[in-house]
Parts: sequence; structure tokens; C-alpha cells
Amino acid sequence: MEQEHPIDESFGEYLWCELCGYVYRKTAWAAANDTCPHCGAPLINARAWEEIVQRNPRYPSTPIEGKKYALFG
Amino acid sequence: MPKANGAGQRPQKPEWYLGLAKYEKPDYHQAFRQLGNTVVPLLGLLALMLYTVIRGYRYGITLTLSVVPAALLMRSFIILHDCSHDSFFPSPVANAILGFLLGVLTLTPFGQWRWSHLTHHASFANLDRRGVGDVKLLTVEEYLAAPRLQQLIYRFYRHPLLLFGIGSTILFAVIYRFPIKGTRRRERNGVWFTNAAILAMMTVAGVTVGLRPFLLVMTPVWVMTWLVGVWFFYLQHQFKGVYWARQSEWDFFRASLEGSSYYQLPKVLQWITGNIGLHHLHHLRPRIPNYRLQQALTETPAVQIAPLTVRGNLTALRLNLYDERRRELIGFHELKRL
Repeated sequence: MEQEHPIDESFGEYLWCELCGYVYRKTAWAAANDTCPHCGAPLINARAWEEIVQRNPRYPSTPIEGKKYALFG
Repeated sequence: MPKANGAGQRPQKPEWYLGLAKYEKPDYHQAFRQLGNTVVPLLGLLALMLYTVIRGYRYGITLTLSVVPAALLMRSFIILHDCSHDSFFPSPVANAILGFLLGVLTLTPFGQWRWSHLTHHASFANLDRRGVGDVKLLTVEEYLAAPRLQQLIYRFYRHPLLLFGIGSTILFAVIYRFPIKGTRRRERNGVWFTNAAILAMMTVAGVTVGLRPFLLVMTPVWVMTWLVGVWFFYLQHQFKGVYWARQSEWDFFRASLEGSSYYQLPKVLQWITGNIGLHHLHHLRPRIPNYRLQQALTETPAVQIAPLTVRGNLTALRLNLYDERRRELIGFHELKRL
């Protein structure tokens, strides 16, 4: 587990994994020892869901947890 | 280092770190300007080199001309690198397309390279997570415990002539042609798709200008680009005084500021290398586009660390093992003194 992970406090409830594309709540990442529950990538590889939506306006503001969303939808 | 803001809570990020977020904004205007002053002259100069070959000029002239295209191809690779972080264009689709095209031009399978590079960002300076997207590094204990043959192979691998000479060409021309362990089907397919695109590029070149002239032009450009690229990549995390730690002690801020170099280059070289020398800042905020890194550095005193000197640059060549007791990189020649 990272000693001081780089996730901004401003990040919302959902985190998107840039390695596998799956979305989970922050709590699910925390429960998986601060890794992506799907692929095990560490928290450094997490991006705020809000940023992904901003770049993909067709994506919902509240994602389905555990679903894969490609970087470009 | 950041301070915890209460029991059971994560440490608060420093203000300067949060402030760096404002530079994570890709911009079409700057991106297209960079493409215009990089890829356009690159293609023009490659055409000029091709002209010298087809017209039968002495090959020395072609080779002399290859220096500038090699520099521009190096800069193109930095653009590919930005695309892998989805930070060059605001559009993820545009980043993926450009990353793939530049990957074909540099013989790099974009998807797989993106995967290994993002993995590197989660594992850099971490002794327990070595192995993906980094230069192989053994600790002193691992080296001494290894069989003699393995020690010799490691010494051979770490020799500058192999690592930066033939090694960089083997990496890009041969190793990158195959999927690596741990990748998903999407990245593996991407490798074969890139290979097919490279083959198509060579076929078109063969039919139009001839494969031999094409290779006479591209080979020196590729070799120079790869060599310098691997040299830079090496220097980013292997230098005197660098921070490496075990997982239990690994600290993101220390790894970024002390485990990644700030290689201050003359302006021309900084331009060619797309500010990649500001590597400590890149690791702190990987989604800052290369064209905003200098501004972020200038406006953020907290990240203005001591740059790696030319002497440090050369000393780094002799660092081959990590000594966990002294917490520093050492050379093979220092083993006897331990």
C-alpha cells in the first residue's frame, strides 16, 4: 500500500482504473488494500470518474460500479 | 512530506501538489503547434534523406542529415509518451490514434508500451515492484547470491555498450515485436496490429521508393533515437543519491522528488526531448502535458530541486547495484569495499 498516495482529496466517490478501465467506489479500492478490485493496480493508476466523464460526455455522471468503461466510449 | 490530518485518515497533500493540478490541462492549440513543429519537419527531412539516397549522393551526406530527423523522432516519442498518459490532446480518441501512428513510426507497440509505462508509474523506485517498464536493477544481496553465470549475464546487460548501444536497438526492433508477460489480450493484439502496420509501411515504401532506400534512411534515424531514448530513460531513475525503497517504506513524494531526476538541459536539447528531463515533476503529475511542464516548474518553487549535472550524468554509467544497507546505488568496482 502506498504510504502517501497521490489521489487528490477533490476526487469524487468513483475511481476509474487506467490500466483495466473498470470503475469502483473509493471504498472498494480501500477494501482491496488500495488497489483496483479488478486488476490489482495500485491507487496511483486511479483517475477521478469526473475527469473521465468530462472527456467522454456520453458516459453517465454516476457509473455502474464494477463495469468496464473504455477510455473513449 | 505531507502530514496526516487525523487518526485513520490519509495524509493531507501539500498545497503546492494540489496546485499542480491546474497544469493537467491538454490544449489543442499547443498540441497541434507541437505536432506542426515536430512531425511536419520530420517527414520533410526524411524525404530529403530519401532524395539523397535515390539520387546516389554519398551515404555520408545522408548520415549527416539523419541527426536532425533523429532529434525530431525523439521529440515525437515524447509526444507518444504524452498520448500514453492521455495528456497530449483533450480527446482520448485523438491520443490513442496519434499514439498508435507515432508507435508505428518509432516501431513501438503503443498499447503495450502504455500499459508497461503506466505500470512503471506505479512501481518506480520500488525495490519490490521491479520488472515492468524499467531498466533491470539488482540489489547487492541479490547479485552476490546469484550463480556466477547469472552475475556475468547481469554484468553484460548493464555494460553501457550493450545497454545503450546494441541493447536499445534489440529492444525496439526485436523485443517490442512480441507481447510481454502480464499484458491483456487487448495489448497483445495491439502488438500484432502494430507489427502489421509496420509491415504495411515497409511494403508501401518497397513498392514506391524501394525497401533498400527506405531502410538506408530510417535505420540511422531509428538507431540514434533509440540509443538516446534509452540513455534518458536510464538517467531518470538511476543516478547517484537516488531514492529506492521497499514497498513497506515506499513514499510517493520521496520517490518522485528523490527517485526521479531533474535533468536540466540546454534549451535546444530540452526542446528536442520535450521537457522529459523534468522527470521528477512528470512523476508527481503524470498528466501534465510536456508543453506545460516548464511553466509548472517555474511557477512551483517546491519542485525546483537540484538538477542532475553533466558529471552526475556520467557517474550514473558506473552505477549497477542497489546497496540496501547504505541506501544508494553503487558500481561493481565498489563490491570489494563492502
